[in-house]
Amino acid sequence: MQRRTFISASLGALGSVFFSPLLEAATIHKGWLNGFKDDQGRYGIAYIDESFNATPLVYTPIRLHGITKHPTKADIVAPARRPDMQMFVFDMERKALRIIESDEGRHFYGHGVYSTDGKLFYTTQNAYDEEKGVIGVYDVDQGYKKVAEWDSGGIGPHELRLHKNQLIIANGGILTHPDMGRAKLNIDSMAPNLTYLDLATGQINNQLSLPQDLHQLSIRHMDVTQDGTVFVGLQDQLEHRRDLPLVWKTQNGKLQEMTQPTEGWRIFNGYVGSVCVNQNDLCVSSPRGNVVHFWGQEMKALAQKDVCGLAQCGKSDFLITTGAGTIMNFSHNGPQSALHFDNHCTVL
Amino acid sequence: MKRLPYLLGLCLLLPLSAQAAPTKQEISLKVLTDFVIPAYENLAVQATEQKKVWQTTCNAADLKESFQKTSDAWASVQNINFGPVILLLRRDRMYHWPERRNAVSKSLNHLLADKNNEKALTHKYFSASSVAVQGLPAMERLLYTDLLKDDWSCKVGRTIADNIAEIATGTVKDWKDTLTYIKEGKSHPIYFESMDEVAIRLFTELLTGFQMISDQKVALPMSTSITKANGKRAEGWRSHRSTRYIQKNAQALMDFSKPFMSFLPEPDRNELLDQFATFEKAADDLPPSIKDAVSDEKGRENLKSFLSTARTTRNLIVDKFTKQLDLAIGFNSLDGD
Repeated sequence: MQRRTFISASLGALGSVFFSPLLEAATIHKGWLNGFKDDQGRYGIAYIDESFNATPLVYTPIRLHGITKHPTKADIVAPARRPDMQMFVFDMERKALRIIESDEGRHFYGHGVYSTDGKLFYTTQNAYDEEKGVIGVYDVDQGYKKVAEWDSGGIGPHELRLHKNQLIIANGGILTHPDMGRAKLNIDSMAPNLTYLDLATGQINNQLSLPQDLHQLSIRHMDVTQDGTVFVGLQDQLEHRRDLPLVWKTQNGKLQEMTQPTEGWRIFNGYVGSVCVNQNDLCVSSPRGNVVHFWGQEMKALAQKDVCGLAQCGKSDFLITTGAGTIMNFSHNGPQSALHFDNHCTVL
Repeated sequence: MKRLPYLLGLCLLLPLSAQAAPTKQEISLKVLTDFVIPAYENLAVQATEQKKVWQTTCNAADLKESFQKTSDAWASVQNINFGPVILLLRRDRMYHWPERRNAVSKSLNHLLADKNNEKALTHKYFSASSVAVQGLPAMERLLYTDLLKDDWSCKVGRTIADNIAEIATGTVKDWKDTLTYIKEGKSHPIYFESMDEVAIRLFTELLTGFQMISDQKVALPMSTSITKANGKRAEGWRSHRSTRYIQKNAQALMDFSKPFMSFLPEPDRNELLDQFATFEKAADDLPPSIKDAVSDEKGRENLKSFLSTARTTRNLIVDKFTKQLDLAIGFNSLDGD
């Protein structure tokens, strides 16, 4: 049964989803987007301008995670986090909202990516009764109608990126089921991988895995450079404080661990929450370690409470957001925000 | 001077919300003295009693009651992974669970087969052996799977009982020593740097208790469907404790919460107490065996309902404690993806 719904909402309508009157679409061409929660318990998407001021753009009843802006249109898409089953498509020009519900037996994982021409949108999803990850393919011009579904190549796909004619997927390896909330059901047998899908066929071109003894490090977040080097950030599912390598990159057809931070891998407390590349520099964040780490011409770490959001800022810096409302880069801090920023920040 | 009693009385009548939030030191002291240390004291008492019973008999039937009582006491502090219980791998040695790759049986069988290797049972060697063989899960195997059947297995059992008692008494002694640092508001060379850290860690361990129940004790054996359910992933199924552990955990989580709740304004405290009553009732109404219930449709519905109540209770605690007690756990570090 097709469960997709279409809702075109005028300003202020649709229950607890509404657009902030504070912002006009014309002003959001430059800057960043970040999911948030405010002190009243409302969720939504915030727009961060070039002076690092944050303004709520839309309010939603559920927490949003990865947020993606269409390459040419005024659409902003946010698939729900697991185990929720809605994908929000905000048309910032018409101030209209579509809610796309996942197919029967599927839920979203909070991440998606547009094709280069903006005609398709790909999301990671859980086919939970079949216990496998899938990629939902949505046609933008048909109102985000689901037109195809491909195997993601593993269980628990999370973040994904597009590179040339391939979709690169971080299959976290963790089995969950909506009946069990967010409980992890296969920690002993989990097998994360990085999968490359052919965009023309949906077939798997290649898969990379960690050494077997590290199979409980879930591959969750990633970014890719223009030359196709993929950087991944891992999350330890066994214990938080093990001193295991949590940041890897692709090299010579394999996953290769990065040089460990001067303070050791323990600084991440078993959890990398965001990965971002800018040119050839890499930055990762850990809200559980309260730290951002940078690999470039030099390595450096920056302590910051509940930090997670990362995005490109200019040609060589990174925008950093935190659950405590901090917006900053490596050069300076912006004004303190009253919003609690969610894990991911997106550059426009 | 005449106005002083009036002002003092007025202060007492002011709702807590109008007063300053308690300091992290006050919260930490209250939680440690009202719950954590008494709970570890009880564990030490039960473990020492178990050790004494083992000195008098090696009949499994006579040893099960003290095992059950020690396990009940452990259930009260099972979610705490902070403070003296992390020293010397005490927590892992006491309770290697969830078990991976049948580690407990493998280690125990290896030791039972190594008959008359008295050196392996000396404190020095035993306390440095596999954590899987040192604590309550190994004791459970001995008592409930017919492994206690000769002099050597009895010696192994006594060694485990001694070890459990030593871990429990060492932990409570060290907590009492640690309390001095908290009373003086000083950092501890091993366990914490600040009073903020103590209060936040205690709060985190409380929340971990809910996650442990939901994820490991219920969801793991339930799996994604009835055909995939595996009752033998339930905790303590050999000793018929799969439900009893959860009920004891639920009771302990309320006891753990009460010292925090004592700092809340009365309406918030009452709201939480009501929710805890619902949570405990849901725990009491669980099927008698999680191991069996996961393979039964009606049992699974009961478990799903319990999971929902546990989630609601946890979320209410997060809401009340973060807002009223300034126990700020990061938005992202608390619930990331």
